[in-house]
Amino acid sequence: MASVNLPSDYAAKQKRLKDAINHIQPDQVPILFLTSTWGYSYTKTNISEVLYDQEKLTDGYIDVLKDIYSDAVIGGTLNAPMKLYDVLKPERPQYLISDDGYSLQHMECAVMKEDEYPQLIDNPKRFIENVLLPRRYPVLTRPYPENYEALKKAYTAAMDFISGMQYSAERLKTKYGVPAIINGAGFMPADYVLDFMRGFRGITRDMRKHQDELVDACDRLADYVIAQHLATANKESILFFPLHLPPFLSPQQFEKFYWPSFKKVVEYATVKKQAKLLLALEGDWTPYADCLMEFPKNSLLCHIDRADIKDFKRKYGDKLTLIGGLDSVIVRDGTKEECIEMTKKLLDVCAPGGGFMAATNNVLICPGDINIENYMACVDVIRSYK
Amino acid sequence: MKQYDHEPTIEELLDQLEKEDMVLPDFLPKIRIPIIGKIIEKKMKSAMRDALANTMLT
Repeated sequence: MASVNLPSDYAAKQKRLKDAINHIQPDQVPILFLTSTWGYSYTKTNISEVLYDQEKLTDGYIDVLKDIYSDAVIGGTLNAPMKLYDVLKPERPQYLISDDGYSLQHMECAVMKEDEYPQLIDNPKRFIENVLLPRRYPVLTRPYPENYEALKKAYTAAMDFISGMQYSAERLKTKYGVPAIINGAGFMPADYVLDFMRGFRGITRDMRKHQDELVDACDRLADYVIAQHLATANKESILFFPLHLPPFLSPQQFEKFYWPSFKKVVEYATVKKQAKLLLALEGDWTPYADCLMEFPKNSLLCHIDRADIKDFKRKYGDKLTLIGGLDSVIVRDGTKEECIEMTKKLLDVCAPGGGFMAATNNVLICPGDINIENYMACVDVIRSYK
Repeated sequence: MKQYDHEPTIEELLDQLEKEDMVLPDFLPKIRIPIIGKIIEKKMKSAMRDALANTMLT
C-alpha cells in the first residue's frame, strides 16, 4: 500500500506550517503527529537491537508515517544519547530502555549538593564540567590518560547522536515529505536545576532554604543556556524547550524562581536572534500564560497540555501559535463519535485566522497510548474541515 | 599526548580534546577558504567541545 505521506507534498506542508505560525489562514489546519518512542511499538522495532544502526533506528521511529498522515513531526529518531551511556557506563543513566524494548524510562540524576550553589553561581560551565560530570560518570575520575580516552570515545558517541538528528530530518523529508518542525532544543535555567542538578526534592527544598542562591543560579544559567543553545540561532530557527518546573509552582513561586531567567532566555531568542521557540507548556499554564504576551507576535509556538486550548485561543490566539487540542484520553478511550465531535468543536474555535496546529495534548510514548482508529477519525475531520 | 604535573580536571581534558584530537563531524559545513576556514574551524571545535559536555549532562 502506498504511503499516506508523499515526498512530493513536502513544500506544501512547509507552507501550511509557515502560514499557521504567521497567523495567515492556511489551506488546512496543520496536523502535528506528536509521537516519540511510540513509533517503535507500532513498527515492532526493539530499540536495543537497532541502537547502532542509524537507518533502522530512524525508520523504526518514523515508519508510522506510512499509515498516519502528518504535516510535521517534532523529531525523527531517539532523542536520548544511549550510545554515550554505553561508552561512559554511568551508575545511574539519565535514560534506560524499557524491558519491552519499545520505549525509554527517564531516571532523575540529582548529583548537585545543597551547599554547592556558590560554585554554580561563580562559573556554571566550570562547575558542570569539573564537579557534576565526574559524579555522573565515575570513569572520568580514573587516572589520566584513562579518563581522557573515555572522553574521546564519548565525543564520537555524542557526535553520532547529534548527526543522527540531522540524518533523521533528511530521511523524514526524502522518505515521507514530512518536515521536522524543530531544528534544535534546549532547557530553561530552572529546568536545568530541576532535571540535571538538584532533582525534584532538592529544588523544592531550595525554594524554601536557598531562595536567593536559586534565583542567582538561574540568572547565571540563563547566560549558559544562551551560549549553549542560542549562539547559532537565527530567524529560521525553531527551538524546542520543554518546560518542566512550572506545573509544580504557585504563581508567586513562578514569578520569583522561574520567570526572570525564562524571560532573559526567551527575550534573547525571540528579540535579539529573531528565532522562534516551541514551548511545551506542561501541566496547566492558565495561571502564568499572561506573561507570554510580552514576547513578539508569531515568535512562540505553545503546546498546550492540560490548559483549555479554546480558552487560550480566545485570550492569546492573536499572538501565540497554539498546538494541541486533541485530548489523548478521549482519543485512547473514547468512541469514534466522541473523537469526531471533539475535533469539530476544537476546529470551530481554533482554526480561524491561523496560529493553530492540531495535535494530541500529550506526546505518545508507550504502546497503548493511543487508539489509532480514533486518531485517524480526528485526522479525517481536520483534513476535510472548511 | 599532553603531559600534566597534576591530575587534570575535566575542563582541562575537554580543552585538550578540542586542541589535539577533535575531528569535526561530517554534518558541519566545510569551509575551503584557508584563513577564514581556520578561524571557523576553531569556533566549530569550541562549539563541539561544549556540545559534548552539554550532551553528557542532559
